[in-house]
Amino acid sequence: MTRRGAGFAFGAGALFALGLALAGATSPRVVLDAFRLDGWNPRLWLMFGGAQLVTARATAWLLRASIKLAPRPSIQRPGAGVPAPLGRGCTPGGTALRPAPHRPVDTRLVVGALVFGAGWGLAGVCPGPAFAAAASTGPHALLALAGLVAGIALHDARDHFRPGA
Amino acid sequence: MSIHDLITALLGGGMLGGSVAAVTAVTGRRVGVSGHAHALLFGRGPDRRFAAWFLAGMVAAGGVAAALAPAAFSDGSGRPLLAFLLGGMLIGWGARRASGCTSGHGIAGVADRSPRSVTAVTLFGLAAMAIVKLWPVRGDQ
Repeated sequence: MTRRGAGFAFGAGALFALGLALAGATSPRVVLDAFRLDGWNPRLWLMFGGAQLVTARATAWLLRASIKLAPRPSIQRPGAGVPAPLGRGCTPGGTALRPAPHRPVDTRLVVGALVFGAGWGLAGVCPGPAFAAAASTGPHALLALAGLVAGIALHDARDHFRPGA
Repeated sequence: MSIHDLITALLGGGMLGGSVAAVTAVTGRRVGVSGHAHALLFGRGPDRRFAAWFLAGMVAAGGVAAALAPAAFSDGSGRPLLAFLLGGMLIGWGARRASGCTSGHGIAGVADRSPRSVTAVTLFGLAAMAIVKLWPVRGDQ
């Protein structure tokens, strides 16, 4: 990776963390208050709304730009015959767009989402705030980050270190 | 909720959206924070280096923000410390099982109107609400 690429990645991460902090999502209390029925605080949901406004518009623009720039035939969703949302062409910088594989809703997704949501409701932390708050003073943030790393490792280590993988 | 909270929530969210969209515009990938964390742990090549720099940027900027505005990072949930360790493990395992978290599904996937992401986000919220119902947050705002 070029120095410019590293700087860009660092800046994008910094922007993400500052957005979380500004919106208050780095406070477990603000997150958990979004799930309460009494004393409900919609700050977290407004944050997601603000993110949607930007990402959806930026994606629409990116798609138009990438279709114009597409140097080769579009990549189709396997079997679906419909281009994936980010399934064709390249970015304005010339990098090929790599769409997530298109899969139906399955048991893995449902089980994973329910387990994730349970952890979210338990700690008031999701992966973004776990990293953004890692260098803050509270021990809760470091514990959440340690748990996050352990959870990812528990899920993936077996696949990763499978003989021959 | 004050007008200040309303504006900072929307603005902060816009920054998240800008970050996710910029990452896609440069790398061509839809990737959220748990995806970066996975790439750092198990990835290789440019994806891993990108993830390492992205997460370093998060930790560094978060550290600066926490020094300037510690209140935004205060816990205040009344949850015991063990809940953070256990909760962290569940979000880590669950995010990998569901192929995404609140950024990958919640920001990027929903913006793409992906049925998987909309399903995932709905279940994230319902499960979290159920836990908060069973184990209420202490005190008022």
